[in-house]
This record gives sequence, C-alpha cells and structure tokens, in this order.
Amino acid sequence: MKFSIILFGMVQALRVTARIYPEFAARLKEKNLTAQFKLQDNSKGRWVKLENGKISSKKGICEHPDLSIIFKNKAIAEEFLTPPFDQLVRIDAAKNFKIGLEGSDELAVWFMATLARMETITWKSGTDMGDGVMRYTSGTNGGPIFVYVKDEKILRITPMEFDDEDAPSWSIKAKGKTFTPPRRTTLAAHGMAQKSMVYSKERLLYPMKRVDFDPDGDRNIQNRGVSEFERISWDEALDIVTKEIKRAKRKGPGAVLVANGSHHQWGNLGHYLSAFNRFWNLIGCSKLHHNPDSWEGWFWGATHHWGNSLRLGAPEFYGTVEDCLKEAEMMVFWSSDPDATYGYEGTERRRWAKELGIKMVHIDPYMNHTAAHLGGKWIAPKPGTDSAFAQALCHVWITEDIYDKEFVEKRTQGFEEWKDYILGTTDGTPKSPDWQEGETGVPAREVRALAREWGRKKTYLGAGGWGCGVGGACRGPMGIQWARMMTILGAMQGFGQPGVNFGNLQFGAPLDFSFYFPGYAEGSMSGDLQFSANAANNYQRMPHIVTMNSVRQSIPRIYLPEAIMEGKALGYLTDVASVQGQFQRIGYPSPGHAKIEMLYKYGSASFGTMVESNRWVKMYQSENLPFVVNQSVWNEGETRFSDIILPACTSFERWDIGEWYNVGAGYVHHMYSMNNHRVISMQHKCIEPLGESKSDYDIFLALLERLGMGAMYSEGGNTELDWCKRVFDSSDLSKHISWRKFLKKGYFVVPPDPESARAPTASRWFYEGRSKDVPEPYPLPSDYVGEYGKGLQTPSGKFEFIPETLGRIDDPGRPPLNKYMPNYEDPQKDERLANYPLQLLTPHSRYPFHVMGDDGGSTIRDIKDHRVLVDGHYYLVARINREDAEARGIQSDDLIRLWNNRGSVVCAAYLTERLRPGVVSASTASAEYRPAGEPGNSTDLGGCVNMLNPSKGITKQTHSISPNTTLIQIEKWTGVDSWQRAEAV
Amino acid sequence: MVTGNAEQGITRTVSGRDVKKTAAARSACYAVFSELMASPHEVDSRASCRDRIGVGKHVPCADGLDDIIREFVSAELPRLKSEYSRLFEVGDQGAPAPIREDLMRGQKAGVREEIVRFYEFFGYALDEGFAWAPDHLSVELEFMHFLCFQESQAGRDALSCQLAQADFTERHLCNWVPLLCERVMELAPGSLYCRVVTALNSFLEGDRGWQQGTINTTNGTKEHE
Repeated sequence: MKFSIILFGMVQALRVTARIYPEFAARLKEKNLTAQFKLQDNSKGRWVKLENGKISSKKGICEHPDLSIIFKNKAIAEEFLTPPFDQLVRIDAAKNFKIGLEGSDELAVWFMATLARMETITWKSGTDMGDGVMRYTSGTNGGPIFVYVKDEKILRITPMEFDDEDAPSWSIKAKGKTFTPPRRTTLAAHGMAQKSMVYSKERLLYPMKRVDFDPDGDRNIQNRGVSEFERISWDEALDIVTKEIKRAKRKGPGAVLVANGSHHQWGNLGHYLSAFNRFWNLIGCSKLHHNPDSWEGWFWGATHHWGNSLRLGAPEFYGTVEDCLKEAEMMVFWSSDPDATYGYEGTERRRWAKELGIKMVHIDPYMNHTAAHLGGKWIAPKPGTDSAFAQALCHVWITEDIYDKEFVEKRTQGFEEWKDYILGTTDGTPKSPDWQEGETGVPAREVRALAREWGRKKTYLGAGGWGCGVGGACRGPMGIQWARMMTILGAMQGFGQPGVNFGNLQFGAPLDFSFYFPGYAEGSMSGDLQFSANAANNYQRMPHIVTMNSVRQSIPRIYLPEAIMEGKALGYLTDVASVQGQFQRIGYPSPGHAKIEMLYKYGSASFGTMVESNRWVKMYQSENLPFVVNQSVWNEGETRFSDIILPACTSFERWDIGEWYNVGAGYVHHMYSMNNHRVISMQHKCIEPLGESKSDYDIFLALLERLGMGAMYSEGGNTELDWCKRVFDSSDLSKHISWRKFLKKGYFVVPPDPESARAPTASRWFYEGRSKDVPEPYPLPSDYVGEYGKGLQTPSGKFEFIPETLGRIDDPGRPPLNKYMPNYEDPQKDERLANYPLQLLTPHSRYPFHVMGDDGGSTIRDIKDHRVLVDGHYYLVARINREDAEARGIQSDDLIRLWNNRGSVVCAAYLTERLRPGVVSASTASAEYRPAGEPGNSTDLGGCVNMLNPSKGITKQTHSISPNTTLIQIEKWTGVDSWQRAEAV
Repeated sequence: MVTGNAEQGITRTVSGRDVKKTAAARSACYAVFSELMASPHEVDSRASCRDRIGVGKHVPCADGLDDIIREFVSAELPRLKSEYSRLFEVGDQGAPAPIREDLMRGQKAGVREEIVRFYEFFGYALDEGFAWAPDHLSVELEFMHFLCFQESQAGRDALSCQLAQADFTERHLCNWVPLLCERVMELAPGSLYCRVVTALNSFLEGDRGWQQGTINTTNGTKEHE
C-alpha cells in the first residue's frame, strides 16, 4: 500500500511543483516520455506520462514505456523512495541489483534529474545586495571570492570579507607582540582576473570541427594546427566523438588515451580527478602518468634521506608559523619565491617576521619578488650549482663545530661518511668555501659568513617555493642533488627543535586539521579507489558507486610525443605509497593492449608547460594519432591542434563546492595550512554558460548517454548541484551549518583550534625521540621498521646521510652519497655548447596560474611585468641582466629571440640588475602558441619558453623534468625566422 | 545619455520628423537587419525575412535591402551557417570579424556596461540565453528596432526614444559597424554576408544622417539645426 501511495504522491508533487514554479513547468516541456515504476514481478506499478508539459499517470503496468525503474520488492522500493533519502541505501540498491533501469539511458537521466529537481528548485542561493545585485561566492586557484552579479552579468569580483557571524581568527603571541590575520581572504592576480577570463575573447563558445577533417574519409592529420575550424552542433560533435571512441576501442583496450594538465579551475566536482576521472574509468582509457613536476628533487631524492613519500618527499610543516615567529632568528629562502603564484596569505605572515626583526637571506640567481619585498641579504649562485654552495656550508659547520652534534649522533646515520666527503678525505677535494666559489661564482667570504651565522642562529630553511618543497631548484638538472642537500642542511642543524625547521611561513598556520572536508585529490564523485585518494576518507563519507579503469596501460607524460611518434616510451612510477615504489618502471606499449588510436585532451596548456614542447606540436601532426578531441574553456596553445573542439564553461557558469587549497590526503595533506583561515565555499552558478559552452560534467554525461552509461555516471540523474549537496553532507559542515544556509550565504569559515589544542610543531617529535604526533596518517603502518609511529620512513628509522634505499639501485645520477656533480650542460667544458652562453631560468609566473589567466582576453596581459604590448601583440617578458643586454645592443621592451637547438621563442626584453649576469629568466606562463612558420619547426611568437627546455630526465632512472639551467643564446628579433629544430647537444 | 531636458544650458529637440511615416518603417528595417545578422545556427530567419520583402521601399537609405533579403531567403541554410560562423564566430585567433562590439573594439572597458544601461533604461530585456552577449550586432539592431517601435507607438516619451536612437547609433553602431564592414570586405569580398554588412553599414550611415537632420540642439545662445 505504501509503495502505491508514494508513487501517487510523487505525481501530485510533480503537478504542484509545476504550478508553483514556471521554470519547472518549462522543464517538463523539454521531453515527451512515459516512465514506468514497478516491482520486478510486475505485481505493482505506476506509469507517468509527460507530453508537451502535461502530466498524466495511472496505476499499473504500461505496455511500452520509454523507461522503467524496477524495484526488486516492495520493501526495497519503499526504502528507496521515502524521504529523507539515504545515499547509502540508494548506492547499495544500485550496486546489489535491488533496483534496475530499462529503456533509454538519456531519458532516464533526464527524468530522474527532474524528480530530484522538485526539491532542489526550492533551494535559494546568494545574498541579495539590493538594486538587483546578488552576491554569490566561488573558489579560484588564487583564493575564494565574492562575485557580484546583476541581470546575468558579473559586475565585479572581490576577496571575501568575513562578518561577525564567521568564526574568530587565531592569534599568535611572539616576542612580545600579538599577531592576528586580517578577517578576509586574499586573492592572487589570476584570481582577480577571473571576470576578464570569463568574458574573454578567447572563450570557446561553440563546438567546432576542423574543416578538412572527415571521420569517414580523409582526416588530413598533417593539417592539425593549420587548417581552420567550423562551427557544428553539439549533436554532431558528440556523435563524432562517440563514434571515434567506439572505433578506437574496437582496436583493443587502451586505444583511447586521456590527457590532462596538473591543474584545473577550482572545485571538487569539476576537478579532473573527479568528473573526468569517473568519465574515463567508464570509457576505459590509457592514461598519462604524471611526473612529480613541482616536487621532482624532493620525490626522487630527498625522500630517500627521510621518507615522507606520501608528502612527495617534502618536509612536515605543522605548527611552523607559530614556532618560526616565536623562536627563529633567521630565515633562509633558498630558491623560494612564495609571493609568486600562491596568493598572499603567507605574505602577511612574512611581514610579521620582518616586523620581529628576523633576518632574511635569499639564495636565488634572481632577486625574486619575495626577496624584493622582504629585503635582506641576496646571494645569487650560478643556476644549478646550489649543491656546491650547500656543501661548503657543511664544510664550515664541520670545521668550526657549529652543527647539532647530538642530533646527528642520535637521530641520523651515515654522517661519518658524509663528513669524510665534505672534508675531502675520500676524494682529495675539501668542499670548502673557496672550492665552491669556482662553481657558483659566490665569493667564499659570503659563504663563510652565512655558514657561521646560520650555525649560530636558530634558522628556518625555506627550501623551494612553498618553503616546504615545491618548485624552484628542485625542478632542474641538479634538482635531486639540491633537494637532498636541503635535507642534509636541516639534519646538520637539528631540524625540529624550537626555531630550527623547514618553512618560509607559507605553510603551517594554526588551523583545525581534524574538521573534515574533502580535498580535490580525494577524487570526489569519481569512485576511483586506485588512482585518487578516494579511499582515505571520501569513499566512506560520501557513499557512491566505485568505478575502475580496466585498462592498465599508461604512458609517462614527459614522453607522450615519443610514445605516439615512435611507438614506445619508458618511465618510472610516481608512487607515493612507499620510498621504493619509484624504482618501478612503466612502459608503453603494455602487453595485451592496443596502441593509441585517439587522444581526449582535457585543457590546452601543454605547449606552455611541457618541456621541449616542439615535440608535442609535431606529435599532433603525426599519422599515428588518428583522432584528437580537445575539451577546453579557452582557445589556447594546442586547442586548434585537434579535430573536434568541445567548449567547456568556467566554474562561474556551473555548480561546484570546494575548500581553498584543500588538496587532500596522499598528495599534500592539509595544504590549506597555507591559508590564514579555512574557508569552504559554495561555488555558485553565477551566470548561465556563455554561448553554447557546457560544464565538463554535462559534456561527459552527454557522451556517456550515447554509450548507455549516463545513469551510471550520474548515479541516477544527479546534477552538479545534487553532487554538491552530497559533498556537503559528507563533510563536517553539516554539524555547523544547514545546507540551505550554506547555499545561500555561500561560505563557511572553519573555527581554528584553541591554542591549547593546536597541532604540534613539525618534526619536534622526531627531534625529541618520541612517537609521531602530527596529524597526518603518514607513513603507512607497513613502512615503519620498528614500532609503529616511531622513527622516520627509512630502513634505519633515522635520517640517513647516505640513504640505504639508493644503494639498492644503480642510478649514476643518484648515488647514495650526494656528491656534487656539475651541470651536464656547461659551455666552458663542452665547446659544442659555446654558441649558448646564457642559462635560462623558467620559474612559475607571478601572474597567471601556470598558463591559466594568460589567454588573450585576460587583464593579466596588461601587466607589464608579465607581457608587453608591441605592434599589437602581447609578448611575454624575459628578464636579462643589463650587462648581457647591452653587450647585444638590447634595450628594454625590445623584441628578442631566445633560442637553442630545441626551440626558438620571441619575448620582450626586461632589463634588470636583479638577475646575475649570464642568466635569463622567463616564466612558463604562455597560453599562446604562435609559430612564425611551420608549427613545431619555427620560432614561437607566443612565448612558450618551455620549448627550450630539455626532455631529458634529471637522472636515467627517474621520470622527471630538468628545466631551469638550460643553455640558450639571445639576440634582437629581426622579424625574419630562419630557425629550425636540430638534435640538441 | 539621452536627454531632452536642459543640461548645462544644452537642449535637444526633434522636429521635422513624420513619426507616423518613418518610425514604423525604420523599425521594420532594423528588425530585418537584426534577423539577417542573427546566427543561422541559432535561428533560421529566412521565413520571417521573406515576409519582410518590401520594407526597404519606405526608407530612402534602405534601397537595395529588398534585393539582399531576396538573396538571403533563397540561400541554403548550410551555406549561411558556414559563411556566418567562419566570418563572425570562430577562427584560429578568435573570430576573424567578431560580431560583437566589445570584441571588435578590442574589449575596451565600459562598452558592454554602457550598452546594458541603455537597455535597462528603456526596459529592453534580453532573453536569458543572450544575456552574455548584449553587444551582439543582432541584439543591438533589435534594440534600435525596439526604440523605433516605441517611437511609433508614442506609448512613452517619443522624444526620449528619438534621442536614444541617435545616441545609440552614434556611440555604438556607427562606432564599430564600419570597422566590421571593412574587415568583412577584406576577408570575404563578394560573399552574401559581405553584401549584408555593406548594406547595413550604408543604412546606418544614412539613418544617422537623417536622424541628425531632425535633431535641434540649443545651448541658450546659439541654435543649431
């Protein structure tokens, strides 16, 4: 009886909702269908017919419904259909065949989404600011924001200002002062430019097909990147892509390759590890296996000294803001420019450190933005020689007895062998300050002075962009050596004791780390337990259907061009579960799998972000790649090197939810400790998608509907907003705020822990010989050699100056003893390189987020520090020392060509004394690829400086990138291009 | 923006304009141009344009329009779609001849906002699907059609509509359609859309001149005709 009543009530609810809400009535007109609800034995049921918006319904079984929703028995049906709906019950029913679906997949998705809409239509979002203006909220890679909208137009975007209702902020008392962060969020440049990016002229608004691509005839692959595009309908575009997926899969498993960048617009649902991940699991694809990128040296090198594999080899950071401000006397920023890219939360804290009189030292060939802002001592070694510098510091510490002997004795092993090497006992070369001067160009006296001060002062070592790893020198040919040296320096000074640790105040704010909200690496709706951190928390907290990619073939990302063009590629695993996981090889092709037949490219950043990217250009024109579909928001670099373009919308045009800088376990756990506040924001759908663009989720759904998997993908018609609610319910948010209130207001500030409950200081437990007490579940229990929680993730449980794990492999670039090995590219040592006397640094940009925000319509292009307008085009800036410029007759804003055998790129000259002579610096921030001639074999006018960087790994047995010391030459650009690619020396 | 009132001593009035004769006819011309410049991917306006053959007869600066309409309605839809999107919507480096004022004028700050304020002031509301492109040529032309229609109905202050037409033409349409016309002539001479845009440009210039001829501006000391 109850089942019948429920179904009857549902039909009445449809009618009432349509009467009250015109938009719901309009929705009902979208499809004509007959839906049958019934029990498996046909004993009970009700059908519902929608025809031109009119609802009719009757008890019983309809002869030819368009779709049927079938319940195994009455009890199951009643449990499933009775509100409040329990997701666990529903998922269980789906997984265990207690509910079935027959008929049109597309109609089923639409119909079930319509039923759910009866509730969601009552949800209100945004704050009415008066005068027709609504204030919404969103999240960006640069910080969470308020978005002011009127009449379907974004008026402005601002950081969030908290109100009195929001949780109070923490305070730190240090050296007689009290510091409290401002009650607002901050916003990086690429966050501020979001409005211009939404309305950019480079937005892809329509599905497109290359004019000379005929999927049933001549594909003209050689014309990718050259021939024009024409607008087509969504139906035509999706039909072509679906047909190509089927064509490729008939060749064998793994013939469909998916590729995406490392980053994305912000938001849990829209992230590639979520919606795209679920999509590709259901299709079954070969995937690109990503290298550690911003963690290269830490992952391949540092991890062997102290473990932290689940942190990609980077140091702990808990409690370091408080400890640094209270205890530190000096901060050394080594290849560390946190004021670039990541927003300005940490900037405020570094300002406090300066106010407290903490001395600042900056070691970087470029006086970077952080150095310029904070002041202090700037030391500029030649790029790639930092390890020599660091070893000389060790030499002074050892010879003058200014290192932590007790720590070294109790907490480390292998020091004697290390000491012998530093003193020159084993190789006859003491690694003294005088010795390093010949390598680095830094005067010996400066090294001695720094070593003495460092050895006598409590010092924080900010190693890499974030101070605890990431970016900078770890991404270079000497990156492994450098990161290993950073850990050694820390060990010699006894990291973990008060005032001595890793960090530059970017990480380690005193927040509540136990309040659960999923990070994007946790895979959100993907259901992927294998290739995301879904299993850590998300899968239990948000019941959803597991998905699994049956294809085991993957391609090392750096060598994708070789895989396509030459048919093979080898690499090593980025396996964070253990220290030794990285020794395993991966290769393409995998036994039993097909070669790649199509590429589903998600985003268009490769030419700007991949090393030696002319290879990528050529790859796209290879006959070995029969079909390419590109799904992007903006027309950038490689978008037009495809056959079909699918226009995706920005995060402002769809629903999502996310926490600022919350990445999640297994990647960078508690990364939100970079922020002064934990802010979880609803990413409201502020406006409708522009043109015919769609959300990624809707595109994937539309494709999967054509393959009969729409209901599976959407779990019975869930829209993005429905998923947001599920994410909300899975988190600890619901204990503090109702969904309706959160949806309306748009954000929640997580209260910080009281002072007495703050997370302990990083590595203090290790320094003091206790069990691990920081709130991270690393390493895995099986990786403890002795008792659980005691010691490091190394064979000895101690910090190893000479890692045992590196002794298990034979990798000449990573010997167990971290001896200094000069850069393999040295024009003074190899006359073939004499034509390339300058070293190129390619850091992350301060302004775009990688290339996001550099598109042609973004206001970031107007920042002269980033691009300069010359003759109607915006050229990426390349910084050159004034001496080097004058020697070549180059003046500021002149167009110059940077080149070597791998690539040739035109930039605008920016003369500066902030860069040491012999070094050029240009960021890898170009969304634009504009070849002067033949794509892949001519000078790029867009600014893709990564074309100059080598694809060679840091060592033979790593899958790693090694930019940042590449040799180049520069000259004024004449406008005539005669450059051609040649075999690199 | 638009005023018939004295502002700093300047007053604008309209005279010598036979509203009954001109407003409806001009409204119809703007309507048909709006349809001609709409994307054939969104709407097939051939049928509605067919019904408007003859509108050009009543407006001096729209002679030749009827021939354009005839050519348009007899063209195959795939050809219209292909020609339109190739010129106005998609391209390697964006649309070669953008059909939106903001893009054509290099995304100068304030262009879209000003357009939207014009629309709001006169109660011209955009369909949700077009809210993102208030500066689309078809939309701007439809707005002119709307203003002329309002003028013909005299249901509101006709002077206000008349002056708004002149201002909108001056500040927007005539500020960028000539650029568009030049671009299209360079990229696709002899194409149907080249003829449409050329005819439109000519019509706008003619209509602007005609409008200006009916507007009197006085500043207290000097009268301008």
